[in-house]
Amino acid sequence: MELTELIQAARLGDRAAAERLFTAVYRDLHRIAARQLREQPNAMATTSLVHEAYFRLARPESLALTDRQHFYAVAARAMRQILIDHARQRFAQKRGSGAEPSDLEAAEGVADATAAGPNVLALDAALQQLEGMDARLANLVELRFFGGLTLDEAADAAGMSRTTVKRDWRRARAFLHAALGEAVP
Amino acid sequence: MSGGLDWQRLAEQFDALCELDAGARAQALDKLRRDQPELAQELARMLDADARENGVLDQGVEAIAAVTVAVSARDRSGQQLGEFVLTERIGRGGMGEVYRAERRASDFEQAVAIKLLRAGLDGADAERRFARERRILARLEHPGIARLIDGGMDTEGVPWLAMELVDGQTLTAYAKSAALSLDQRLQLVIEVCAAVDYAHRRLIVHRDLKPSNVLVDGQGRVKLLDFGIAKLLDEEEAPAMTASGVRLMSPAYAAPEQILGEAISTATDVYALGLLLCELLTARLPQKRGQQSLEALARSLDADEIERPSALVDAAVRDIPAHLLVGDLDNIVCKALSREPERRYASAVALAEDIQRFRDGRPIAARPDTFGYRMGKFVRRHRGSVGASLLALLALLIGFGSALWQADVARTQARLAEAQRVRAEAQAERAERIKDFLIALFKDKEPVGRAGAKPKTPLGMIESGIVAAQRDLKDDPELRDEVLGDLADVGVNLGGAETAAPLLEESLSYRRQHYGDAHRLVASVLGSQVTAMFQKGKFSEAEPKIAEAQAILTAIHGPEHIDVANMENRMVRVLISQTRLDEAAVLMREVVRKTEAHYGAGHAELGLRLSNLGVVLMQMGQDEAAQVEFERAIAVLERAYGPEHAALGFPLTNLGDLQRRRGLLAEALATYERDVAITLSQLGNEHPAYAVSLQRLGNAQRMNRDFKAAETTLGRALAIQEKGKYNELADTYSRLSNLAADRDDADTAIARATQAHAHALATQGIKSRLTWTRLGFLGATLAEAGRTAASSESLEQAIAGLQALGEPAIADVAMHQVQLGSVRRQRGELDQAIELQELGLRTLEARVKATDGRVDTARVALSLSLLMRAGSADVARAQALLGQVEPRRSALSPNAHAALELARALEHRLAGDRAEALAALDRLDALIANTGLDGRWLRAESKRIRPELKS
Repeated sequence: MELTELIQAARLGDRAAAERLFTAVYRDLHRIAARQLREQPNAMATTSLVHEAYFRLARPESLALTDRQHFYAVAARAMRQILIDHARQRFAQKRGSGAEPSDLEAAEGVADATAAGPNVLALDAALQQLEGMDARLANLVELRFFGGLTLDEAADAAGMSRTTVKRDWRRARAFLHAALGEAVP
Repeated sequence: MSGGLDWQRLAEQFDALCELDAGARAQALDKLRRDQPELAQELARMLDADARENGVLDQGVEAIAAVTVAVSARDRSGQQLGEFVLTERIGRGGMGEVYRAERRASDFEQAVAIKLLRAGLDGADAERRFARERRILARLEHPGIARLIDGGMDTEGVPWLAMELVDGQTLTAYAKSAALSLDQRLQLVIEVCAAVDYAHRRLIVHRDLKPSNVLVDGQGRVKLLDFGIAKLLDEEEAPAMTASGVRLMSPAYAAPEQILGEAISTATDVYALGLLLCELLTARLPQKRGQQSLEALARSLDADEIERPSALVDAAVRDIPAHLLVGDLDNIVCKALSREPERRYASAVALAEDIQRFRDGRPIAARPDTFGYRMGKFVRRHRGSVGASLLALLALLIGFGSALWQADVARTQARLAEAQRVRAEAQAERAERIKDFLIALFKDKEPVGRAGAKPKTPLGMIESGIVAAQRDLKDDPELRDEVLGDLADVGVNLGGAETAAPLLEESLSYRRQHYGDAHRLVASVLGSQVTAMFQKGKFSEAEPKIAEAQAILTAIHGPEHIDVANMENRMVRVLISQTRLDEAAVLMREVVRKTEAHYGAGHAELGLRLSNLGVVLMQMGQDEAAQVEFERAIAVLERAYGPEHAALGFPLTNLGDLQRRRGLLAEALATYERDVAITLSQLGNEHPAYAVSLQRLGNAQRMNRDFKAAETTLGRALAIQEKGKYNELADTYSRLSNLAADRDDADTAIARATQAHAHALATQGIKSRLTWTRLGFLGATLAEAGRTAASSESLEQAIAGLQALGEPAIADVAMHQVQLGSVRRQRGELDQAIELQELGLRTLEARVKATDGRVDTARVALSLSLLMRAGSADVARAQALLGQVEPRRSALSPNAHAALELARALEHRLAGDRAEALAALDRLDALIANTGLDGRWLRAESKRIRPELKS
């Protein structure tokens, strides 16, 4: 099935299609991220990651607005999942082997895994909490933070006004930072 | 935070407090603390967090991603993989890491390069694919390709490959450091091409050719790295995902199809070879490729002309002077870098050969515009009007898919060279003149190097050649005539019948006078005239010309000669147009026999002739025999050209039509799908022939009741045709109308049928049969929707329009009368229905052969009307008609067959035989279900009658 059809099917509630779409986007993002990181370790911009995935997979002109919105939502969610999976994997490795997982090369501008690892998992936990109370806000966080969309792009992708998105973002940011402040003192 | 919190209230309070200044906020919080302490506490935390900066969310995901996504960067030197020990990390690239490794055994030590691929493989499927690909790649054994030695997965599932360790420099670095000359550089590219071609012949595409993958070893021999590995990594993707193949490319070296996510083929590597050549010659890449993002490159693809390498040479870094590149090398690079894969060199070897021609100082094959491409387009566009056998002939003459223009030039050159040889002994001076003339002519046709000059169309070139020949060869009438005759012949084949016609007439009378009526050259010009007439559809006018040429050639060469057979092949086309089908079949079998005797059983020409024989048999209604011939034709063409040649399109299309007509839907679908795949790969996704193939496939999918697929397929065809304003648009509208009708969307069906008629009217005018048969189609569509009044009106107009066309449309008039009769019958106007259908049937019986399917269709339709009226003589007359049809039951179209069953059901009902009547209805329903025929009315009738019979 072509991507366009996949997105449409997923948007209309086809679960198998939604899973295939997610897997495809997940893999693609993963690769782009890994590659970018190797090539320009200091300059990885997530904005361009999701955009690039969009461009590569979907080809801008071929998608209708609603499908585009759906794609961005899926891509942002995939990005979130990638980061979580990696963080988990890393800790599992560390626990499993008993050895230091990696002597990450500072020369390449890669920061220490232990610092960021808890953050993403904690963020995910807080986000899940927020999701339970206000799915719209959680969705917005995915789009803006994990998807790297600007305020305007997120408004477009979520199909909401700029003012609403701005207000929602402030709410979500305050809630999540407050929650994280608790988890990681 | 506790779960019992009212989030909505919290959020609203938060918004409200944000608006306040610090003092007012503190007050409000205090008040809240008293009333709702829990809420206030959470609110305070949020307000604190709101005021803090540099939280996780502010830093952006990069901060997290930079760490978490990082692939393990640790150096794995010292680790063991399979039989190898990693000794030293020697590189990191887009695909993963590369280590130097050693295999230690008791008696030998082997150094290899081990590549750790960065993608993990998910699942057993991916592992199996990896193992399979590895086996295929391991079979590549060529001195120019680094060998794959071993491979596997480490404990974490990271795939690895052990490859021949190549000690060398990249191609571009080597060329620079060794200060290679132009010729030496070209030699290296030829070596690269040979290695690439070796892999291509084993169906392995590199997909990621770039200087860093092309090394030159200590002996100065090239070695290609990473063959097929890009695909191996890519296999993980969902196979149908459009963008697969692009991920691993560095944009700078990606071919357009990779950037756009289109199909990857060996042509993708040819493109990369073009870039490699360009970079080796100029130290630059075209289109500022080095600096652009993928997205920008994709946008520029259609907008930009390819820059000529000679214009790219940078004075500061140049190794090769620009003037050496102007002309041939520019053309070679530009051909390799064509946007459409099919316009590039057909293979890596073809590129190498052209480079070699340049090195030898011989003329190269690349031209600024590939004329074969345009010609192919022309031929396919006019496919319907020109007729299958003429096309087959043209295809033979010029070779589909190859650069037609070159073929024609070559042919003209060959003839002129022959003429030259014949006269050389006596007239050496004259031979020189021909050469000079040709050189002058072709020099003029070299648009490159004349900046700003527009390349001429092929026909334009022929026209200027004609002017030049008339002017320059005046004092040698014999030579002048021969050159003009050849140019006119090429002109005709390029679609310039008008330009050529007077010239051919002049040449004919000159040749009759000069050589006598029975000369070979007279036959040759007659043949050109026939081609011109065929193009205009003037088949009957061509008949005496063909007969004369045939007689001349038979007198010279004897009746078995292939030239005679070719002329007879054209006569068959004439006979078909006059519906002299028995004669056509006899003659066509003769042509096939002679062609086989001349070329042998496996030759492509035989395949095309067999296809023609199939067409004749199909016209005669001998479907089974026709199918045998089409299948034979396909087998012969496959043997001669391989499974993907465009020439297969003729027999495949015909076979598909035949299978569909016989109700063999599954077979027809497979045939059409193959035809679609071939036209796509050979002609590209904007070609009108591709649209025509899609249209047929879409129709078969519709009949198969796969409406979704049909809609997609027909939609694609429509998009191509609307964009190119192609004639076949009316067909597609009709198919879409059928589709809508099948989906019980009568309004759309009628709208599409109206569009089809309007399009035919606008493009063909009122003098065309098609215009009126489209109106008839609209009438039928209206009838199916139950709008019988409007239907009658359309059909009456169609009949009037067809009657105005006179003799050639008489059978059409009759068929439409039968159809109108059926509409009247639907309205219950049985007397009028029977009158019309009797009239139509009488005409058909008098005008077309008794075995023609249309006669039986009319008989069945009339029987139905008669059985419904059921007057005293009606039943007996209907029984007589059905008795006539019965022996040919199996040859009936699905529609007529179903109508026959309905008629039988009515007949049995009248006779009071309920069981027989029900059995006939069962057969009718089964037919409707199995063959996908457009049987809404029949279905409704079956439904209506069934309860009566049961009660």
